[in-house]
Amino acid sequence: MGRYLIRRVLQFIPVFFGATFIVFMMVFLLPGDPIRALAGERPMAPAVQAQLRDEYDLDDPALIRYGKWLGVLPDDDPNPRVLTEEQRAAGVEPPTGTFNGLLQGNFGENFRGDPVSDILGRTIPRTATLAVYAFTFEAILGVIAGVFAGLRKDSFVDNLVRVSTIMVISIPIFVIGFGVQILIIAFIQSDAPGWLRSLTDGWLNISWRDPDAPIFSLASIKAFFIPAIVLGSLSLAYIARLTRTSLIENLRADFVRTATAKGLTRSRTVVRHLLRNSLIPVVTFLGIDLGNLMGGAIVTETIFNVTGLGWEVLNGIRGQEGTVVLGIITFLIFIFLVANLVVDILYAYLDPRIRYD
Amino acid sequence: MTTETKSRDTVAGKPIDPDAPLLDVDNLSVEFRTDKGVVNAVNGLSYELEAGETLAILGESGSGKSVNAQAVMGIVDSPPGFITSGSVRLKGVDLFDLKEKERRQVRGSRMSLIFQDALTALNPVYTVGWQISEMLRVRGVSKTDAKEKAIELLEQVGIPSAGDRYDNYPHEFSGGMRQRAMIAMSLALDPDVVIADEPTTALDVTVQAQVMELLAELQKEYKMGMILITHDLGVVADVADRVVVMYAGKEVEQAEIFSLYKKPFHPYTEGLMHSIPRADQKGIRLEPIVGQPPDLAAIPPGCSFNPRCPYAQDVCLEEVPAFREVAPGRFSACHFAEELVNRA
Ligand SMILES: Nc1ncnc2c1ncn2[C@@H]1O[C@H](COP(=O)(O)OP(=O)(O)OP(=O)(O)O)[C@@H](O)[C@H]1O
Ligand code: SF4
Ligand SMILES: [Mg+2]
Repeated sequence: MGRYLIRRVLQFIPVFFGATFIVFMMVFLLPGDPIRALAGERPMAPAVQAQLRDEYDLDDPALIRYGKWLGVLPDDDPNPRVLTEEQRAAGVEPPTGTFNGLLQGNFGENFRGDPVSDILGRTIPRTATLAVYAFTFEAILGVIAGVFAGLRKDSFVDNLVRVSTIMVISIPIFVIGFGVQILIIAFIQSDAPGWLRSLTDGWLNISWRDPDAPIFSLASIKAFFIPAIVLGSLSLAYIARLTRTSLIENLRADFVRTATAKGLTRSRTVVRHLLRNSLIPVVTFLGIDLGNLMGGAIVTETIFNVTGLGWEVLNGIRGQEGTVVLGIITFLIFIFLVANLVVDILYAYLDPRIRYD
Repeated sequence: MTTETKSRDTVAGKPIDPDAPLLDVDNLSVEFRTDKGVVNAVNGLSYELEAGETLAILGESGSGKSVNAQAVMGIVDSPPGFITSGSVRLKGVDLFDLKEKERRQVRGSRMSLIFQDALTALNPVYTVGWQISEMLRVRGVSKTDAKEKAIELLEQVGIPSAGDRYDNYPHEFSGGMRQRAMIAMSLALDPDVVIADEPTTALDVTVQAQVMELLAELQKEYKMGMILITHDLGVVADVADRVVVMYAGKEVEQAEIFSLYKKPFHPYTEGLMHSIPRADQKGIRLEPIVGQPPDLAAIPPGCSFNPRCPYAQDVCLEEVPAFREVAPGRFSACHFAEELVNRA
């Protein structure tokens, strides 16, 4: 397992560089002029434009720019990051020609001069909170629904789960999001009884506001409640179906029959033998999905105005802020790689027949 | 040994009948209600098993042998499976009358089942030792005692360095060792009845004999009643005392094994004997029984063997032959059993 881990982590390197290179090319070869996008309707002096182009190396060949962004080619801009506190206080001029890219921990700046790492630091906690709530919601409800449906195949509950999940899967997520918003507005405008209003007070928000509260606090849960449900709904449907299918497959397995023949109680047979085995594919799906949720939040964040990673990526694309888009996607690639590795390790742990060496 | 003390005078708290046979299966019928119709897997099956006896149940694939075992254990998949008639009595106590909770006390502890394929019958995600000791742990035995007992059992069924093997997963065992572990598990609670459902079919021929020998040894040591389900009489010939031959979910012949071997009194048994190689009749050409095993969703009227029977007469198409004693100690369900007897 140790050697396998080392090999897997080493595999990260080419995958990471390959993926960031492709994304880099896509972002910077996009048609349109970022400087003009920055200027918007206002006129901008040609001299300023030229200065900006120079500062952001917009006229360099793509490969050179990728090298500088990565930090394997020297950057001709002044680099205050290499100065110590005292040097900075003493007003020492930052040197130029240093390596100052991703490998040095520098994600670059947007056109306003804000470091992308600051943007990441601000938005990642929001998206992560949203993803964790969606994950909790889909995992708990999805598994419960799948278990009840699978244990009573063809019952009312089973049919309900099958029909409702196929509906969620076939409706695009933005339709679900807007649909939920419309329902909330209709509820607010209706003459619902007072107790119902007070019960739902603070939960049904069509637009997100920063709760400024720690994760899993009530204020935080309330603020993210609706977006998390919308974000988790698709995976919930998949998890319910996956759990159900896997359970039904194992229900007739010989080892479940053995467990019954051993004189175990029904609940022990179901939990320790049937569920333990049936949830292996579900857990691996959940592992991959944690990465998916972080990256997949673009639509949900946009609909509910959650100013997280997805929202920032969309703004970045609109504003042709290549470094911002690139920084966020780089982070997401990293999350995906780690999630995949964790899933593989988890898989070997859950199913002893899997051996990596 | 266990905190739930096992009284030999009761079954699940019910008083036993000291004169009753150890296991008495009477007129048992099991059907599966499937989308394609009703499959009559077991149709009025009756047999008895005495303590210390080994009974072979012989029949082709699909004749209802495994379903019979599941019904006796009370583990038929339901739905689609339903027990539509009959009774199963352990020392006179009708198991079908028991509540599920009482039935559970019988399963594993008074009677246990050895499955055909230990690879699928053992849970792949737990160690072999854990699965054996689980039987004891759920009955209140402490973790360390259960482990000790499980290792002892593994030693008893001939697993070398059982202490280390305790922590192996099923896939780390060879086929023969897995079946031995399965046998160890079935003996964990010293049951009165062990049903072995084709325990050697999944094994290599050389290993088959060893496992069969082990079963015979243990049966004597534990003084239990054993049912050996098989489709190959040759495999169980040295071990079994008596044979019940099953066809289409029903018994068609029953006899002490050597007299059956000498002369079958039912055309189906005769066909089976001609279709398997026998050490004492080298050179005789093997003839498989003509025709297909019956479609259990449409069993022919009259004698269910009639489409394949070389002796079939008109009466066979209409009347179901009674299962009766046609010679001392010899039972057969054939209209013309006497003719077969007299041919001898
Ligand atoms: N769960 C089930 N659902 C539907 N039909 C079943 C089920 N279990 C068994 N059957 C049917 O019952 C019949 C008898 O099956 P059984 O397994 O008892 O045969 P068998 O004598 O053990 O054969 P084999 O030698 O192949 O193990 C078969 O036709 C089978 O299709
Ligand atoms: S009753 Fe008739 S068909 Fe059935 S086994 Fe006897 S002779 Fe053959
Ligand atoms: Mg079988």
